[in-house]
Amino acid sequence: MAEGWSRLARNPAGLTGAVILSFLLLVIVAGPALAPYDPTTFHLTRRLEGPSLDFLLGTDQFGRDLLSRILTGARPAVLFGVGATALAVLGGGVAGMASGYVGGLIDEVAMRALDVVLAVPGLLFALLIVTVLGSGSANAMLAVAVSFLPGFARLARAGTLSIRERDFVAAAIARGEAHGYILRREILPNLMPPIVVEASVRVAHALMIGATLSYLGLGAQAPDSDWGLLVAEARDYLFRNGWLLACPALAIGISALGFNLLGDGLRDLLNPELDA
Amino acid sequence: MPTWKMSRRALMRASAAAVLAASAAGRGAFAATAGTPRRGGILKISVNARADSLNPMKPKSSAGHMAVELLYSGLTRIGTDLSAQPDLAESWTANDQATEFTFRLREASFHDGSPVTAADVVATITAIRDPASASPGRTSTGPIAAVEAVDDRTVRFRLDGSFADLPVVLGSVYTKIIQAAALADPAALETRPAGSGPFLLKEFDPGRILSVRRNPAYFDPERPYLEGIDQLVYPDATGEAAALINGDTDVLLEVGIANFDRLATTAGIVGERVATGNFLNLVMRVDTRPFDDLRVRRALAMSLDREALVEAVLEGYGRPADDSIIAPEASLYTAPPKAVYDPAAARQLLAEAGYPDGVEATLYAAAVPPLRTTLAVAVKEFASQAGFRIEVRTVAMDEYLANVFRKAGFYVGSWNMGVTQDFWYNTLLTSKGALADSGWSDPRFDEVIAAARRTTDAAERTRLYAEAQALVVSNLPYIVPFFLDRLAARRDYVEGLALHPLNQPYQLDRVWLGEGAPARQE
Amino acid sequence: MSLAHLLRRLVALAVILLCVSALVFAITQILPGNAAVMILVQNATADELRALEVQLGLDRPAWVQYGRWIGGVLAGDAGISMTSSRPVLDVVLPALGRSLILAGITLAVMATGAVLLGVAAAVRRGRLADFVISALVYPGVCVPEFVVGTLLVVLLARPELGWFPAGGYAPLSQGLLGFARSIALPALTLTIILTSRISRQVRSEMIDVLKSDYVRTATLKGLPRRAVLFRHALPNAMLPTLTILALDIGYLIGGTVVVEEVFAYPGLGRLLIFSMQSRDLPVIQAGVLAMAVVYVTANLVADLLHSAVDPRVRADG
Repeated sequence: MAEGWSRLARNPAGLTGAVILSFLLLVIVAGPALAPYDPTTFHLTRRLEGPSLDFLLGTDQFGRDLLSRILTGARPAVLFGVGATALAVLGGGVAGMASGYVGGLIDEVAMRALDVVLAVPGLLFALLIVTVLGSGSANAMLAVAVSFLPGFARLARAGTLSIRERDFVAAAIARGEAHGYILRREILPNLMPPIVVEASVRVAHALMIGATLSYLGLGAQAPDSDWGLLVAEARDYLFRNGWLLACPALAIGISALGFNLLGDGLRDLLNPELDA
Repeated sequence: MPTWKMSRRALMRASAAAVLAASAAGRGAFAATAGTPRRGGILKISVNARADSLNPMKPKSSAGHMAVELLYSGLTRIGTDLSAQPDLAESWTANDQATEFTFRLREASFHDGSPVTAADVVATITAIRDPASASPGRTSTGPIAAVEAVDDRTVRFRLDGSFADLPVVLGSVYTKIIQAAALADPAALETRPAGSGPFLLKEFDPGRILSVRRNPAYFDPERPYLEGIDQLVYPDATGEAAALINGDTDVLLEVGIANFDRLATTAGIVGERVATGNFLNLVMRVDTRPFDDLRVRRALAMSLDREALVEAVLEGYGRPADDSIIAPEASLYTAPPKAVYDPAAARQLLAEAGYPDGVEATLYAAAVPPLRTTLAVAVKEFASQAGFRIEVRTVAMDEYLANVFRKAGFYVGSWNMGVTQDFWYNTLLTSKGALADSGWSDPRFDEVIAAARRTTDAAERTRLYAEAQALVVSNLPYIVPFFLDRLAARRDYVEGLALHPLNQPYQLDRVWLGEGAPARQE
Repeated sequence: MSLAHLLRRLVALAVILLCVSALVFAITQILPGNAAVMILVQNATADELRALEVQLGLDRPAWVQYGRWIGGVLAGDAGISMTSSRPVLDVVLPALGRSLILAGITLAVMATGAVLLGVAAAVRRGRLADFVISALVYPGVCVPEFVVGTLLVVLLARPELGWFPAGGYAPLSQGLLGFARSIALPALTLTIILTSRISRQVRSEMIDVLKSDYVRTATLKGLPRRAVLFRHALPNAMLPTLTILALDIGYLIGGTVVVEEVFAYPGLGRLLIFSMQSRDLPVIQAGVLAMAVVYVTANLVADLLHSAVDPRVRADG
């Protein structure tokens, strides 16, 4: 573990990512407490103002404090990305591992079914699902998770197939170990590195799709302070207060950057083990 | 808690609204515009949605309504004062009980040259009244029992009950007169008009352009002044505004509140604003807790600072409405008592109703128009000071229609101004109203509305509608926070544009291009 | 690739698309409201609603509706759009055409740009140029399309500037300039996003190729650096690049949907979002199917190209 940290420290991309994410974690935990105002309070005489000492990032169309809204919006935005990815890893990982391990007809059918789902581009599939489930953060998260699921299933299956052929798995089977034990103790640990790397990049992606869905009116709904929703609402006031657009956009960008950099760092970090 | 002080801008707007109201009282059918009308020129007008259908009977987007108005004529037109004015009918008479109306048609012809006859009117009205047509005109034209052609140019309507407003509602966009022969093929009417309107269809590419040219055989020798109109679709508000600024278009008929100030102060562009009776209402079902208690409904009404709501939600482009769905623009209008804003008294009322610690409620708002959500968010914030803990839930339109409208206990409604007082009273608030959605009913109210239909005496009808309004306002099935203004913008050379308090008509046949208009050739 | 193999691929593709059609149809059956509700909006009485439902066939069992629909689609008739009362294909196909124009232009510009940037970064690996390119390109991976698009509107499409329209589409038939102006910002948005994604992948592929034996051999043989790069390294990097491009067609399609919405570009993506909002089922079904057709066909074409430029063939020549 300690060795991992020191290697991370020598990896500039990963280090930058880790620093950004630590900062983000701070905002997620303490954001609402750090917010100078209640994010829903109107200040009707101070609407659509630029940054000032009273309102460090300015105010929106109701005179709500933009900084407070961004700080409180961090938690739902990041939880969305992490939650959607976690669901997809869990669902896709289990399905892929099982399918790859069992093999045969079941595996064949499962993979063809995935082909069908993968024939619909991811974002479109998410749109379709959220249209059916109804708008809202939870539904949007589920939709993104479902659209990510096939990717993780394929990754897990491919990994399982190659690990299955290795000597230590054959040895475990020869020892007469239970399938559950082999999957958990022999295959899963070796499967984790590529999945972790993929997942960290996917979190960034999910965060952006979440914002996109909110922008399209299908994700978070007013009066939430979801970052995507903030950008969507800012669109009406583009030419009156540009900060409304720039600040939440920057928040989305920096967070996604953090997860992407961490993913890059982890890839460099974990690759040697995968090769070994 | 919201901080609120009327800004200088809001004060300026409030006085502008007063001017509007004053001019509304004295206005005639035609808006007074300087200069004499000039002939010729092509007007380019932008819309934000495609004209989806040219069939007058079908519900459609505002662009579609405009198209129908350009291509068709009705028996009557609705003037800016909401009275019936001659169109294809040059005159009409009614019996004393307002159960029989006779219309005399003028000499006019359809676009293919054939004359407009009583038979066409009978065929059109019969088609609208067929349930299979699913035309909005079917529910809004009153209790028509039979329509008959007395002779080639005389039509008689017999009604099941009294309905003094018949000549007005026949001016609606859904009751334009269609050539009888064309009614056999409704699918063709989608794209091929069969009307007698001031303009002929030149090109229709839905989603891009609708182009019409002057009808040389139109019955009015004066109008239309324009040689033609091109209706161009700009789905994006920013793009639409840019087109007007760049001179690609001449008129922008639906300006968003957020863009209006910026557009109106741009050189060469004039902002147009008219007060309408379009309203949003907070529906509180009187059969669902906590709004089954009148005290709770009154508490909510008293917790809302109407002036502040107009400023917060409409940026000042509207007027407080004092919980009546009838706007000052309506004919036979009486002003309701001013809504009281008193959060402390509201809190007290809530306590009396058994909610000393405040009360929770979920407020549903459909996602379109976005103003519904904006109002819900503002109400949540304002009402919190009286102890209401409101959770706002935005839902898609279909979910709203399937599960919220007429079902949920508390939601935001949105309606356009009714042509007559009778229309929304009868539809929304009588016991048997087709869209009654509040659960409130009162036999006395039903009686009053029926009585107002029976008489053609204006003073008596005004008194009856005042009584109906008093019943509604004191029982509060709805909170009506404000009436919206209609905002438009035009290049300064566009003359004669008269915005109507109703969403339609647009009256573009009265528009002309004045000095400085760009010369546009075919 | 033999003819038999190609046929097999085509049959598999047809089967997948048939399954996709069933999947999409099944999903759309769960929607809460139906098109009749949406058409009549809130002014409808229960009778009017039922009359319209019968007229639209919405009262029939789902499998009957599916059978009718897919039969019609195969015969070139995907039903009538419920919002516009026009044949679905008349609505979907022109929109698809406009989306393909946008995607095609993006793909051409982006592929060129991404390859050049990726190769340049790889060749200068670890040096200033590599760092600068990475720094320029990285933000594109971290910002959603709608943010880039909206920023471009603010920066380049201010009405005061009059450089570009903020939205809309001018067909080529009305003049090249208007067409170019209307398509420039949507295409630029997509290009920025995709170039970022792909140039990074090209860079890492190229680095691998540069390390490979035959490039080293070529360098040791004393060939000029330019010749090594363009005659040996680049062709070999083309193959994985092609795979990357094919994989990213899915992103391109998804991105097109969002960008069309941002710029009010009347393509299939915007049509689909509008149809989803108004529950216009026939258009949703046909539109998603059309996108799936484009997607799987593009992947097939990429596969075919892949075998055409296989380096094992080229290396001998």
